[in-house]
Amino acid sequence: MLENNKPASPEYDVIIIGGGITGAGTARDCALRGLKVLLVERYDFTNGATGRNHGLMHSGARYAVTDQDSASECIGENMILRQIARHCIEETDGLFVTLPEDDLEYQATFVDACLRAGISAEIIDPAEARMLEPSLNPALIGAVRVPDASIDPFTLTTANLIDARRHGAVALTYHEVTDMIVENARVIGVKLRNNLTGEMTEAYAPVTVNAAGIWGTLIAKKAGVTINMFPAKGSLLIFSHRVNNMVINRCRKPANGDILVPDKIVSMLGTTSDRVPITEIDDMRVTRAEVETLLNEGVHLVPSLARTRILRAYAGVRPLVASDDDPSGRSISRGIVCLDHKERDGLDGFITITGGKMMTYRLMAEIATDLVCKKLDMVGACTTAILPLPGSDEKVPKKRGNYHAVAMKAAQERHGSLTKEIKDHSNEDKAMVCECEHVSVSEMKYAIEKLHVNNLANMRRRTRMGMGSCQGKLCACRAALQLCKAGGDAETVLADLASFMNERWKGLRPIAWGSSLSEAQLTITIYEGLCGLTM
Amino acid sequence: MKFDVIVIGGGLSAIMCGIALATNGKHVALMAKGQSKLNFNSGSIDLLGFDEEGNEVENPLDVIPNLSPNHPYSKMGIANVIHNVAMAPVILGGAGLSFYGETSNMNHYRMTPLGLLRPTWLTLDDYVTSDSRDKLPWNKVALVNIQGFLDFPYDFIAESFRRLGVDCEMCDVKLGTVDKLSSGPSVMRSTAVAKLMQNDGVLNDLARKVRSSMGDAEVAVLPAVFGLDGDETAVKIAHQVKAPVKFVSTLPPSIAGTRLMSRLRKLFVQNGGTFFLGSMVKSAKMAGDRVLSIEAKNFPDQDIVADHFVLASGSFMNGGLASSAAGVSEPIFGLDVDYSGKCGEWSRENLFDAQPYMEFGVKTDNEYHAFKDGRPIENLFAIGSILSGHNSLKLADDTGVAVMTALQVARQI
Repeated sequence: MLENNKPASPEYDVIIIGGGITGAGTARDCALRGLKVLLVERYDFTNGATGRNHGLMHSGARYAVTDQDSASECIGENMILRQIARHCIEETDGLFVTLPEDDLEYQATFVDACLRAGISAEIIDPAEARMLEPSLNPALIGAVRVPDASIDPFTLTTANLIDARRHGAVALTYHEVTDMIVENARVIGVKLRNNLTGEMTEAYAPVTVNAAGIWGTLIAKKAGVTINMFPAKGSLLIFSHRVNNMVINRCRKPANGDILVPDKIVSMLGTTSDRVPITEIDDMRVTRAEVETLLNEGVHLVPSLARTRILRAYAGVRPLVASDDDPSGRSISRGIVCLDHKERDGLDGFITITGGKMMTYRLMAEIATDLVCKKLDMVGACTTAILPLPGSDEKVPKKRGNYHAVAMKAAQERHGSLTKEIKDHSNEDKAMVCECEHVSVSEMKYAIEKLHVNNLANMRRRTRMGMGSCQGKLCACRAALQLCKAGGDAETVLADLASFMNERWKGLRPIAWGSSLSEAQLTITIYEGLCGLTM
Repeated sequence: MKFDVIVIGGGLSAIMCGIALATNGKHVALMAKGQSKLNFNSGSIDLLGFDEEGNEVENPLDVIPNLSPNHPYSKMGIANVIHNVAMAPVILGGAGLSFYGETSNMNHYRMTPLGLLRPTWLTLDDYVTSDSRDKLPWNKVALVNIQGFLDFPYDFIAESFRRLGVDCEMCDVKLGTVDKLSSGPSVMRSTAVAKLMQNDGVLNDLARKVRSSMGDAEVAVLPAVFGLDGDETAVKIAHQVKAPVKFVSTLPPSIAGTRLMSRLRKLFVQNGGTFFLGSMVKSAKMAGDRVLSIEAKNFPDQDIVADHFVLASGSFMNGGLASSAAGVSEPIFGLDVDYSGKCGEWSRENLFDAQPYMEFGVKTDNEYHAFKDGRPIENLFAIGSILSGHNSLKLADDTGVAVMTALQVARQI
C-alpha cells in the first residue's frame, strides 16, 4: 500500500506540483537530467484532466485548419510517442469524414492544411472508407485518412512516473500543497498536508514547478501570482463496447460530439466545450443537455451508437490560459504556456507549465525542465524524445504456461514489458478479478505493491478494473477483498467500496434510462439488497 | 394451447403463484424467460425489514398497517397479509425447504456476503442468522474459504464476527480441483464451485480439512456453495464435518436462489403445473377489457389461451419494465405505468439514497388488476417486483411482496 508515501528528505532540486501527465512527464525529464525530484499530487495520479479525456492521440489534423502551430506540435509528438510509448498506444489511424450536409470543399482546405503542418492526409474513396470502418454512416460523401491513434493516459502517466522513480524521483499521492513558502521574493518550498492522515510536512527546493492543470491558477494564487485561466469543461460518453476500429472525426471546423475514439474494449464519444466557473472545477457533472448534444451528433457519425448502451458520461476541464495582454480571454490558444514568474512577476524559483494538450505533454515537460535547468545553472540535454518509457523499453516477454493467455494479453496492453514484474505464486494469483478488463489477482498485487494503490479508485486507474461494461458490478467487491488481503483495514475498505460504487453511479446517472437504468438497478440490488452496503 | 391460468415470469413470485394455483386444481402454465432475481437471493425472504422512515422493523405485522396506501401490502389489507404470512411457510415446507423464523412473526438478522446484518423474516435454516444486532449465538467460529474462490469476501465477514465479539479463526482451504479451476480464463463463480461440491471426493476432502482446522470452534462457517439441486450436498457437508455448519451467501449467482427455485419448481410440476423455460412472451391479444391470448417467441404463430393471466415479469433489471429517455413502459401488454417526472428526475445523486425509479411499476387496483388506457383488465393481474408503490431496497420487502401478492392473487383466481 502507501507505506513509503512521505517525503524521503526535506530538500530537493525541484518540486513538481501535480500528478497528471504534465507533472509526471516533467518529473521524468528532471530526473533523467540528474535532478533530485519531488512530485506531489493532492489526490491520485491522473485524477484531473489526464484521466478525463478521449484518450485520442492526435495527429494534429483536428487543429490543422485553425491552429498550424498546435498541429505541427501534435504530429511531432505523435511520431515521438509511437517510439517511446509503444505499449500505451494502439495504432488505429483516423478518418475525417464528410457527411452530406457538410461542405465537401472544406476537405481540400483541410488536406492542404494537414500537409503544410507535416501531417500525412490521404483522401480515400467513401466506399473504401466504409470497408475500413464499417461503423461509419453509409451516407458519407468523403473521407481522409490521417495518423490519429488511441492512447491510454493512465498507462502513459504511470510509465512516466515509474521512470522518474527509477531515476531517483520521489512521487507522493494524497499530498496537497497548502501553502507556498516564499522568502525574499523567491519560492523556496511548499507546505504539504497528507490528505489521508492529515499530517503536515514541508519540502524545500530552489525551484518549484506548477504543473497542476486548471488547478494551477489556485496554486499560483498561493504564491501571490495571478494567472488568468478559463476552465473549459469537456463532456464525453463511453459506450459499452468497441463499435469502431479507427478514430472517427468529422471533417469540418471542430465542434461538439464529432470525435469517436476506440479505447481497448469500449468507444469514447466527445466532446462538448463550455466555460465553467473556477469554483466548480472540483465537481464536474455532465448535464442531460450535453448528453443529448453528444448523442445527436455521434449517432449521425456512427448510426449504431443509437443502439449501443452508454456506460457512463464524464467531464474533464481543459486548462485554457488567456494571454497576458488579453485578460478578457477572448483570444485563447490551445498552445503551450510556460511562465517564468521571475520575468513575469518578479517571483524567483517558480515556474508554471500549463495550456497545451495531453498530446504535447512531453514537449511541455521538456520546455519546463529546460527552464528549471537554466535556473539551476545546469546544462543537461533532454533525452525523453529518444529514451523509451518503461514498458516500451524491452521486448514484451512471451510467457507460456505460467499465466493465462487472456489476462497476460490484457496486462501487456497495460504494462508492456513491465508485465514481467507480475508474478504468479499460486493458482489463486492467476484467478481473474475483473472479467471485463481481464485483471488477475497477481496484477492487482503488483499494482498495490508498485503503483501507489491505496483504494479502489487508484486500482481502477492503474489496472482499468471496473472500467468495462459491468462498471464494477462484482469486481469492485473482489478487488476490495484484495485490498484487505494486502493489509487494508476491513472497515475502511468497506467504506471505500461504497464510495467507489457511488462514484461509478455519478457517471451513470446522466444516462440512466433504457439498459443503463436496468444495469443501475441490478448493481444497487446486489450491493444494497444482497450485501447490505450503505453509505 | 389452452390453460386455466398463464403466469408470465420465472421468479419467486411466479412460482409461488403457480404452486398455489396448481394445488387448487388449476391447469397452470409458467412462462419463464430465464434467470430471475433469485440469482441475487440471500437465502432469506424479507417481509418488511424497515419502515417508511428507515427504522428497523421488529414485527412486520405491527408496521404493515401503517404503510402508505400505495404499498402492495396496503392494497390487500392486513387481514390478508396475516393469512398469507401463515400460508407461505406451509408451501415452502411442502417443497422441502425449512426456514429459521417460520414459527414466529418476528424479524431476525441475516448475515450478508460483506458480513453486514440485515433484518429479514425467513432464512434457510442452515444459514448464519442472529436474533440480535449486537451479538451472535457463538463464542468461537471457524470461517472457511476455498482458496481461489474470490466471490466470498470473507475478510469482511471475519471483521464482522470480531466486531460482534466472536472469536474468528480464518481457514483458507486448498482443494486441488478448485485450485486448478481458479486459474481459468473466467472468474470462478459460486455455481462452478457448487457443481464441484456434488463430487463426493471433493466434498470429503473439504470436510476433512475443515474438521482438522476447527480446533475448539463451535461452528464452521462456509460460503453458500452447497445445494445446487436441493439440499443434498448442504446436508452432506454438515454430516461429514461432524460439527455444526452454517453458510453465508456469496456474491451472485446465489446458490440459495437456485436451491429455492429447484425445490419449488419440483413441487409445482408435481402438482400438475407446466413449466416452460426460455419462454419470452412477446405480445398479447385483447378483446375489450380482457386478455384473450399471448404469443411467445418459442411458440411462433401459436395463440396461448387462458382464462386468467398473471404478470410476474419483474422490474427494469428483469425486463418487466422498459424505459427510454421519453418514459417508462410495460413491453408485453402496454399497461399503464405509475411513474413521474422526466428521466433526469427518476434518480438521486447519491447511489445509496432512495431512488424514485425503484417505486415505478404497473398501476393496479386493490385486487392487483392491471390497467390499460385507464381501465382495469378483468383477467390480468400483476404481482411481485413489477408492482409500483414501494422501494423494495429501502423497505427490505422485495421477496415478501413477491410471495404475498402471489398468494393473494392465486386465492382471488
